[in-house]
Amino acid sequence: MAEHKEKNILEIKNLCTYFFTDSGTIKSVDGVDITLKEGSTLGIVGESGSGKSVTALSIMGLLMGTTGKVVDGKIILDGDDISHITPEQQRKLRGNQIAMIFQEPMTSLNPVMKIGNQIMEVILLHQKVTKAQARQMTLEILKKTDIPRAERIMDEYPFQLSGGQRQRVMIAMGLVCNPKILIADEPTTALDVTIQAQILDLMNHLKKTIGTSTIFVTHNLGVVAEICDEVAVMYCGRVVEAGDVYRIFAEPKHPYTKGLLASIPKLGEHVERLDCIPGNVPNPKFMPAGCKFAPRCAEAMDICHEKEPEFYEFENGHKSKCWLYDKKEGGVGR
Amino acid sequence: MLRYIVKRVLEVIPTLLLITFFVFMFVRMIPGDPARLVAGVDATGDTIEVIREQLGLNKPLFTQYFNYMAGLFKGDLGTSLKTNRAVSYEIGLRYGNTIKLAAASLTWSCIVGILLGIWSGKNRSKWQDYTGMTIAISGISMPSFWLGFIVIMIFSVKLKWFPTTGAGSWKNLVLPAFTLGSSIAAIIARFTRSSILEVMKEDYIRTARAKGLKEKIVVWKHAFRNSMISVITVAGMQFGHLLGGSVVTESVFAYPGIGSYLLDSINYRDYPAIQSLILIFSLHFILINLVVDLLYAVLNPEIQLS
Amino acid sequence: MIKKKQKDQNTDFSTPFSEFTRKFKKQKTAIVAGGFILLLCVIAIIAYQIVPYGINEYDYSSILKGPSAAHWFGTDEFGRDIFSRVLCGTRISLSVGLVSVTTAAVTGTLLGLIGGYYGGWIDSIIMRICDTLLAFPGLILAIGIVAILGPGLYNVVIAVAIFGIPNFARLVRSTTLQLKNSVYVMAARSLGATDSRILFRYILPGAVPNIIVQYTMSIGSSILTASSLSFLGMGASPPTPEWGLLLSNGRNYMLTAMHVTIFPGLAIFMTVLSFNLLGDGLRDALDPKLNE
Repeated sequence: MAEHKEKNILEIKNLCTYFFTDSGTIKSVDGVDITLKEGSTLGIVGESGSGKSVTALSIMGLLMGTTGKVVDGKIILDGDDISHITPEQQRKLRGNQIAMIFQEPMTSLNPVMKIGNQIMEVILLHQKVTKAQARQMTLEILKKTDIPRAERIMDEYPFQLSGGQRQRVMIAMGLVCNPKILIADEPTTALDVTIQAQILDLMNHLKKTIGTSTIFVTHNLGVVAEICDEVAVMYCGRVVEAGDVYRIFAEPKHPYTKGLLASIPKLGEHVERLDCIPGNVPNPKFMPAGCKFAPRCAEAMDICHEKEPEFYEFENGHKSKCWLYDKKEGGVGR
Repeated sequence: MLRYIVKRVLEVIPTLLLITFFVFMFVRMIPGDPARLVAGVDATGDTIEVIREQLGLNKPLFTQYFNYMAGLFKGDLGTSLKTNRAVSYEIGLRYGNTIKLAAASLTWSCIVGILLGIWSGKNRSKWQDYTGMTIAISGISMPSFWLGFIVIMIFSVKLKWFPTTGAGSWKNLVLPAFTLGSSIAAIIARFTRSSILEVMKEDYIRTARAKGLKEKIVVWKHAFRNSMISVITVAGMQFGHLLGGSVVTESVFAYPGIGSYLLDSINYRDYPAIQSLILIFSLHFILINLVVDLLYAVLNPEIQLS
Repeated sequence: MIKKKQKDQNTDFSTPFSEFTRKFKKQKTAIVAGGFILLLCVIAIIAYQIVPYGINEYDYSSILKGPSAAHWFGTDEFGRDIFSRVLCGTRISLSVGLVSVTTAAVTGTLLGLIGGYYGGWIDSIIMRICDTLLAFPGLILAIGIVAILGPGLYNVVIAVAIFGIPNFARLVRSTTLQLKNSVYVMAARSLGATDSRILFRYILPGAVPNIIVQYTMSIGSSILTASSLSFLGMGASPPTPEWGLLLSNGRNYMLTAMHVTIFPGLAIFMTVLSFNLLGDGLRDALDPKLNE
C-alpha cells in the first residue's frame, strides 16, 4: 500500500453541540478537538452519554429532527472549512464525501425497498452514471464486502438478510461513492460476537484495500485495539486523552483512561474483585465545575475541582487533559 | 401469495353467513306486526291472517330462513311491503347513485386527507401543522348534517352554484360528496400525520438522510411508502363511516340512494327492504376490508414473499 | 481524595404523574377545551334554573325571529327561545355521552382484560363478538339497534354503548397481551400474586392512559351519533330539546330562518370539538414516547 502523506483529512476544533430541550440545555459535546490522518482509523471511545455519537452526527450534519445544534467549533474537511456551509451544501457532502454507518443494522435499511435499489440510489444521486453502470458498481462493492451471493441479494429485501449481511450492505452503501471519510457509529455493538469478529475483519481488510480514512465510535476497548490506529477518549462531552493506540494502551496518562483499561478483566489473571471506576457519570444538568472527572478521580487535586485543565502534550502527538501533568499546579509533569 | 389471497377470501365466507343469519334474526326482532302494517289500520283479523300467509310469516322460523337464503342465491331479495315491487328492483334504482356518491367522497377525502396529513407532519409544530390539524379536528367534530345544511345554505341557496337535492348530473354530487367526505378526510389526515411522524423517527430515515438525499425524497420515497400501508388500512376502515354517513347525508340532500332508502324503509317497517339493505351494507363493508387486506399483502413485501 | 457526592445530583427526579402534569400544562388548547367542558357541565346542571325562557314557552307573536337582544339565538316556529332550548339540551347530550361511553368503557375493559389475559376459547368468543359488532358500519349498527328497541333516548344510549364496546375491548386486550408477558408481571406471578390481583393492580394501570384517551374521544363521537339518530327521527322525540332534534326541526325553515339550524349545530360542534381537543391533549401528555 502506498505511503500515506501525513495530512489531516479531518480536523475538528472546539466542537460544541447543545440540545435545547424543554427541561433545560444539555451540553452534549462541549469543546471537542479531533484530528483524523488520511488513511488511518481513529477510534472515539467513551461510555454512554460521553457525546461520542453526537460528535459523529454533528460532523455529518444529521441533527435535524432533534433539538440539537452545533453552536461553536470548526470542522475542516481536507482543507475546506465546512463549519458554516448551508444545509444544501452539507447534504451534497453526505454519502458522497463523508459517509456514515450506524449501530442497528436490523432497522437501518428501508424495509420496502430492494437492497440493490437502496445502494444504487446513493450512486445515482452523487455521480453521473447510467442505471446499468450504477448496478454494476453496486455489484462490485457488494462483492468487496464478502457478502455471499451478491447477485441475488441485490433483488432481495432487508428482512431476508441476517444482521451481519445487513451490516455488510450498510458498509457497501457507505463506501460505494468512495468517500473521504467513513464514520462508523458502533457498527458491531448490536451483532453477535462471532459476526462482530467477521465485520471487524472485513473492515480491516477494506482498510488495506480501499484505504478510506475512518472514524470508529465505540465503547469497547477490545475493538479499538483490533482496528484503530489512533484513539480519542471522551468523557462528558470532551476529549480527555488522544494519541497513538499502542501508546495509549501501554502508557495511559489520564486517570479515566487508566481506569477504563484497568477495568478490563484479563484472561489468566486471578482477581477477587473487578476493578471499576467508582461513582457515576454526572447528570448533564448538574455538571461539576472544573474537571468533569474530578469527583471520581483518585488522584484529584484542589485545582481539579476549580478549573478545567488544558491539553498537555507528550511524544508523538499523545496528549491528555489533566492537571497532573502541569508542573505549576503541583502535578508530576511529563 | 396466492395462498394468502385464497385464505382470506375463504375466511370471509363464514362471516358472510353469520351476517345473513344475524340480519334475518334481527329484523324479526323489530317490534310491530308487519302483516298488520301491510294490511292497514282498519283491517280485520282475518285479512291480517291472509296477508300473513301471503308474506310467508306464519311458517316456522327455519323455513323462513331457508326460503330467505334460497332467495338470496337466486338474487331474490323479497318484495317491498310498501311498493309491492321487488326489493332488488327498488335497490337497483338507487344503488348506482350511492356508489357514485361513495366513490366521489372516498376519492377526494383520501387525496386531501393524505396531502394534509403529510403537510402537517413534515412541518411538525410549525404553523402548517397547527393549521392542518385544526382543520382536521374540526372536520371530525362537525355533525355532518349541520355541515350539509351550512353548505346548502351557502352554495346552493345564496350562491346558487349547485342544486340542493336530487341526483343526475355531476353537480348533484359535489355538495353531498363534500359533506360525506369531510369527516373521513379529517380522520385520514390525522392518521397520516401520526403515521408519518412515527416513520420519520425510524433508523432507515436517518440512513436515507446520511446518504445525502433531498428531504423531499426522504419524505415521499422512503417515509411515505412505509406509512402508506397503514394509511390504506385506515382509509379502508373509514369505508364503514362512509356507509353509515350516507344515510344521514342522503337524508339531508334528499339524494335518492340506498342510504335514504334505508331510512324510509325503517320508518315504514318495510322488513324485506330493511333486511336486504342492512345485508348489502354489511357485505360491502366486508368486501372492502377484504380488498384492503389484499392490498396490504401486495404492498408489504414480507407477505408477498413468505 | 474522592470528593463527596454532589448535593444536587439526586433531587432531579420526576414521577410519571408530575411528568404528565408538566406536559399537559403545555397543551394550551387542551386546557381551554377542558375549561369549556367544565362550563358545559355546570350549564348542564343549572340550565333549567338559569334559562331566560321556558323550553316550552310558546310565543306566537314572535315566530322564526332571528337573533336579537331578547332572544340571543332567535326563536323557532312556535316562538320558543332557541337559546334556552339549546342550553337545556346540554344536559341531555352530556348525559347521553357520559352514560353510554362509561358503560362501553367498563364492559369493554373487562372483556379486553379477560380475553387478553386468559386467551383460549374465551378470547376467541369475545373477539368474534367484537369483530361481528365491528363488521357492521357504526351508524348502521346503532340504527339497527334502535330499530329493534324502538325510538327514544334510552335506547339511543344503549345502542351507542353497544357499538362502543369493541373499541375498548380491543384496546385493552392488546395492552393486556403486551403486558401479560412483561417482566414485572412475571415477577409478580413468581411472588404468588393471584390472577385478579395481577389484572387489576398490574395490567389495568398500564392500560389506563389509553383508556382515558379513548374515553374522551368516544364521548365526542357518541354525542355525534346520538344527535344523528335524533336528527333521523330515531332518538329523542319532541318536545325534548335535544340538539339533533332541534336541528331537524329547522330543516323546513332553512331558506327563511337559518338560525334555527345554525345554533343547535354549533352547540354540537363546540361540545364535540372540546372533547376531541381534550382527548388529543391527554394523549400527547400521556405518551411516553413523545420527545420534545
